[in-house]
Amino acid sequence: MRLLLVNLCSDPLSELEFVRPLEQNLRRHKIDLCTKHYTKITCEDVKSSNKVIICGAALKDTEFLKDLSWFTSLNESGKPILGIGSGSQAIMKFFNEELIDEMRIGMFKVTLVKENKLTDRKSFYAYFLTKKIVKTAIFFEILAKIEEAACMVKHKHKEIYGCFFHPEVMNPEIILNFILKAS
Amino acid sequence: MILMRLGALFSGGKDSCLAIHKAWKIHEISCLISLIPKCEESYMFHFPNIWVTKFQAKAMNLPIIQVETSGRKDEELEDLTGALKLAVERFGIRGIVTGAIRSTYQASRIQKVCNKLGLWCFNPLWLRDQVELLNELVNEGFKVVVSSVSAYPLDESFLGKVINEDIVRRLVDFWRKYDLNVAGEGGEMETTVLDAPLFKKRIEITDYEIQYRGNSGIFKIKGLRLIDK
Repeated sequence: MRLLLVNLCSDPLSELEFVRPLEQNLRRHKIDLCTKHYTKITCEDVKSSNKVIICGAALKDTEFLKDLSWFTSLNESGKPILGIGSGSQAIMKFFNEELIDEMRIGMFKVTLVKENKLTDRKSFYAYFLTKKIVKTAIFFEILAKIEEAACMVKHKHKEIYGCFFHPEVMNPEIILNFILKAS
Repeated sequence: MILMRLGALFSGGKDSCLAIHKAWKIHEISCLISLIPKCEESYMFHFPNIWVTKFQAKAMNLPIIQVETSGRKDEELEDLTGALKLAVERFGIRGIVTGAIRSTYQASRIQKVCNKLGLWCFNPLWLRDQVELLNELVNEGFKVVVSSVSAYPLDESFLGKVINEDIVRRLVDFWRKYDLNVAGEGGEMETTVLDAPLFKKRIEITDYEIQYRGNSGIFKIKGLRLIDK
């Protein structure tokens, strides 16, 4: 199993905060991984990986949203994808889902609304660092909510997931479940 | 990538210094920002040798903004906002760097203030392995002393000790046996940095006092001097 970890950070200092913790955690679980900046993903990177995780980025960082063509090859590969924080924003924007401005910073209670492969916990606390959330979705189904807003989603026909919170902070089992169960 | 002018939230301890060390390699550190709590029960910031930050700034050849804070939850945030506004006005900073490791409480409050002020927020130590961080400090040549302890089994013998390989081994042992947070982010242990790669001068302690009672104590630096390196 080889994992492609996509780095969305436009500033290398942010990589220490949004990419390195995931690398550290995945290596601890002996996951074979390759980290690539979104601007440098090649067809070979996609071909040689079984799954993809798109990392988060700083609140001020929106550079990756300007041109989402980098996501095309990932989408077309049909491989399971998990977007975290800003990574889930990128996925939703690629599919033209409506994102609305709503600030969520800190720890919030998440409630599961649909059974899924990533977690079976009915409710849990998660760490959020986001300015955008999904109000309604067309191509995605809502897996979990924070109050009335969606915070965990899955594409209706593909193994593409989005977590608007950062599971690496308080819910690392979500990442491991994605690696072990999504197919 | 654009070179940014950053302010560093600075407590004088190992984490804020290591965070600056990492940020320095990529951006320009324009100033240090220290909040000085009036009370010891501060939720977010270090206390024992906070006055030393002025001399650490001199050792790094960096300006420092020092703002007094009540130490009470909400007022502390207002004080932080005021200090960051001052750093923007005086030094034109576009972001800040912090030494937050695991505290979602501390990190989210700082993120909110930065967001309000339109500043970038960098946490280069975020979720880093605690033992790895201690080893990095030792390997990179930081001279760090333990300035307070407040959790069993840390006792008086740790106060004033320089964190070296031996101390790291003992802390790791405590972590395995007692689940002690060896990074000390929950206040189990506070530290003061006397020398680091980014210091132009090193700090020599000329006078100190150790106070220890029950399971907690402080190594109070009472006198110091800056020495050319």
